[in-house]
Amino acid sequence: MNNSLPVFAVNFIAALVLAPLLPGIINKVKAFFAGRKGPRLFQLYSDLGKLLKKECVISSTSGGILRIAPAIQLTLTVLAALLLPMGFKNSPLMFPGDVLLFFYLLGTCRFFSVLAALDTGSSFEGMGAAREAFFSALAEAAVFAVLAFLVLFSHSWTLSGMLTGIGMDSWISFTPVLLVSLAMLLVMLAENCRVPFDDPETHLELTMIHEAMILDYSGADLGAILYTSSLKLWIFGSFIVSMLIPGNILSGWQETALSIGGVFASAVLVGIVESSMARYRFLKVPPLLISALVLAIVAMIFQLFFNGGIR
Amino acid sequence: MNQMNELFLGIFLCSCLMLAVSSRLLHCIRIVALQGVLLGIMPVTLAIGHGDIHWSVMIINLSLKGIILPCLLYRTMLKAGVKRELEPVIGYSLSAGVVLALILFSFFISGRLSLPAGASDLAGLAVPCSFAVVMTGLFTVIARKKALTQVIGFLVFENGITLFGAAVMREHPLIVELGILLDVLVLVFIMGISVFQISREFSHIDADRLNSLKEEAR
Amino acid sequence: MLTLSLLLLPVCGALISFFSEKPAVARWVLMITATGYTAICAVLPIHPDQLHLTETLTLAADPAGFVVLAATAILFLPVSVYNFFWMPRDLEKNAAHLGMKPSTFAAILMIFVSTMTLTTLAQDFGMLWVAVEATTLASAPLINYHRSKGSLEAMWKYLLICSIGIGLALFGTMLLSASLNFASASFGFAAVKRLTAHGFFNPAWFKAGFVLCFAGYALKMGLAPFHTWLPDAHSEAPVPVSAMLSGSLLNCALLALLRLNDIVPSDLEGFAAGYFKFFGFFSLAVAAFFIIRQKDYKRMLAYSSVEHMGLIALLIGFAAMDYAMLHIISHSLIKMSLFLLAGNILLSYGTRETALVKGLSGRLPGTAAFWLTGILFICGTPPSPLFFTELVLVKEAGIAAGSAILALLLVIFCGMSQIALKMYAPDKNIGADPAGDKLCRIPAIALAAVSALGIAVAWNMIG
Repeated sequence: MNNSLPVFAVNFIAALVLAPLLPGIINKVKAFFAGRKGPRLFQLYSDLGKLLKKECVISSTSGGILRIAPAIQLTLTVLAALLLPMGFKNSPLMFPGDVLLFFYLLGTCRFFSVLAALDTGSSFEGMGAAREAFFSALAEAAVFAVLAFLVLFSHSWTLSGMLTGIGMDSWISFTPVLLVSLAMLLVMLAENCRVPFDDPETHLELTMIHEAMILDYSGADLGAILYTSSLKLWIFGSFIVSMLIPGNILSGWQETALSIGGVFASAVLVGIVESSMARYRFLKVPPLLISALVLAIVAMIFQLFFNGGIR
Repeated sequence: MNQMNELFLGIFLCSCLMLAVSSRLLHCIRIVALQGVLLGIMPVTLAIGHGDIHWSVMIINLSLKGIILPCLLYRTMLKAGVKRELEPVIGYSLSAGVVLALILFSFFISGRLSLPAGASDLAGLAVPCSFAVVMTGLFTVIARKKALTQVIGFLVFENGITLFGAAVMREHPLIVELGILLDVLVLVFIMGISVFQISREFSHIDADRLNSLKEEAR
Repeated sequence: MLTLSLLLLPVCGALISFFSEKPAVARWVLMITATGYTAICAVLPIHPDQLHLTETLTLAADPAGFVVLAATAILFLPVSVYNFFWMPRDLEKNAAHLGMKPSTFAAILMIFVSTMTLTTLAQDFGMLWVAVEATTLASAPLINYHRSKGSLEAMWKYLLICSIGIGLALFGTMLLSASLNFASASFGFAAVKRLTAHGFFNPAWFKAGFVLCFAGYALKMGLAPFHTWLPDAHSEAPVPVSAMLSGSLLNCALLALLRLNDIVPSDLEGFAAGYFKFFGFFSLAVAAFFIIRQKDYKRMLAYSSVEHMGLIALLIGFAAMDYAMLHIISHSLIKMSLFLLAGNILLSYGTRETALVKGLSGRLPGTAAFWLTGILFICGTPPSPLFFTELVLVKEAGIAAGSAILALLLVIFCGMSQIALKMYAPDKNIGADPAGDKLCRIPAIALAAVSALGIAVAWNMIG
């Protein structure tokens, strides 16, 4: 345990540095399935570099929120990443109940993006904001069911304890963990606005959700938003990976490699999902989120059963 | 292999909850088909490690409950032109709550029944799950108005019974097994016809509107 | 051999009738089959003639099964004779909206009888369940013989509700098997009884299985509150079918409950009897409530069936088995006669509403007389054997329960006789219908037989 802090730090920095790779990986996978060459793996880095050099144009109808929202979102997301265990090592900031802080940081981040979208006064962005708020409210239920399951499973109230506490023995009866991971994957797709909830590629205003909200950003602000969303993808990928893969079976640096590789693998999975299905109609999205909730609840019941809670 | 079976039971419970929230008949039929396929696979996965596999049971369950009956239901659905359950007796969110309560209740009561000696290894989990599926099926029959949805509910009810037979009993009298299959086949066959007849006669298959026969209010 | 022929004879008759496609042939075949069936029943010895399907699976007639079998046989013959004369007259009136060919109808009726025979002969719970299931499937299409919105609705309700009951019974059977630790492979009545009598069972599972089986078969038997399908099915079905449904099919479900009651070990007897008493009494109360102002005479008869099933359940609950058997036989005969007489009234008046049936004594004098007699008999007026069984029941039930039962019986008596008298009352405007009255002879013979039975019982009780 004495080397846990350096390992965490290395992993954290790796997350910050490597996060823009994830959209690149997803796009490569999609291009592979479509038989195209696709954009370069490092495309987002070049985009970010270009955007940072450009000046920001702020709509004259907006108030102040549009101006500060990207910075706030970036900060909140980085803070959330700090709470997450990285490389199967506990976060140095952990305290009992930090899961709530973690998800509320992400929630606040979303709150600001919605607020900023409303602030522009554009009807498209307002529409996007409304949809975003609706879907994330539904996803919230699933998230909390997953959390309840994790608390039951690991008997721990800290995020790090929950995720690293799912050890090898959980695989003896893997059903609950598998169900919960599926639920979490659905939540990840919903929270990151990926297919089948939203299509990040589309620029047809009527069908956009997340993309509609960031139409008014430009320059460094847009760069911050793009970086934030890639970091968020990393956070969720890392969440699922540390839930699925039992820690403490390899030495410290091998675990780091495993966790980073796992996150990349989750990006590949997202890419496969995106290439194999189309975006759902809005009417079909709530049932999908409810199924995530259902999965988590059934996992919880199974866990209670194995714990002897309902016998 | 037991983990595999546990996963199947988990999917069974999920399917019950999904049944409670889905309004589209196509979804319901898919859920029933999924359950049928699971019931077809489970005799095999359960028997691995115990020796003899009931291949006949597996094939009949898989083909009948997994394929033929859902297809028949689907055809009837197309013929009758019903797509979704518009006005359920009990709303979808409340249904989900009720089914959840039923699941918890079945875990609760089966906790009070000590397992019989001849039960399979999986029985501890399979008993509450089959209770839950049976109760969900009955609930669906009560909570939905369309004749087709009621048939689906009845099928789920049957699936629960079959699940009990397949997953709890290690060996069972063949006649019970055969009885179920005969039952389901003929039953849905006849029900399908009568659904069709009802729709032809009155141009709707709302079993709720079949209400002329009752004691008059006084 | 006899057992097998009892099962196969109706099936052969059904095949001939189905492929002949002629109503005239079907009528004859039905009558001949019924005669043969009754003749075989009369000579069937109770125990020795066993039919071994496999090593463990046996069909045989034991005393309880034989009583129900006999009740089926002595109903099947008069019903088929009645059908012989009823069918052409019915075709004249209702040919336009038949749900199936008359020959198909006769064929299904015979298959139905065959499935009921199987129920009475089954010697293990698996076979019993299959047979009860088969009776449902065979009887459902019969309800829709006269195709109408009402009959379709009745058939749908009957199928759906009874299927659920049957499913519950199967689940209960499985739980019973679990309660025996899956020890008994054949699940025959005798083997199960031996196991439970020696305490080789798990009480919690046994109770769960008993309750589910009870609910399932009670639903098929029409005990309240599971009776909702019964008045619809029994009133919408054509009269020969109504007579068979009320007189025979309910007995078959009852037999299943008797089998269930038989395997209950001595330390759970109170538990089981409680169920029989509660649901029996509840059925009595529900029937009384619905009979008192009934507007449809066939529904009235159907509710009276609910009442009598309740009475039989009470008799079983109070362990008066012999009288329960007597009640089964006499109720079947009287109820059959009443349904057949109701068929006459229905043919002549063309309505099931009591208010529209006026001047019965003038229009159909014979039918009217026997209708009144039958109503009095079914309410337990001596010399009906029901008088004696109800007497025994009230005596067994003690003062409080007995007086409650008596009060309900009184209510039912008032309700039914009041309706029957209103129908009977002479009306000058109604002309006679001598052709329609001819069909009253068959029920008359049945009623005469019942009163003879009653007198014999009285003789026996005094002596």
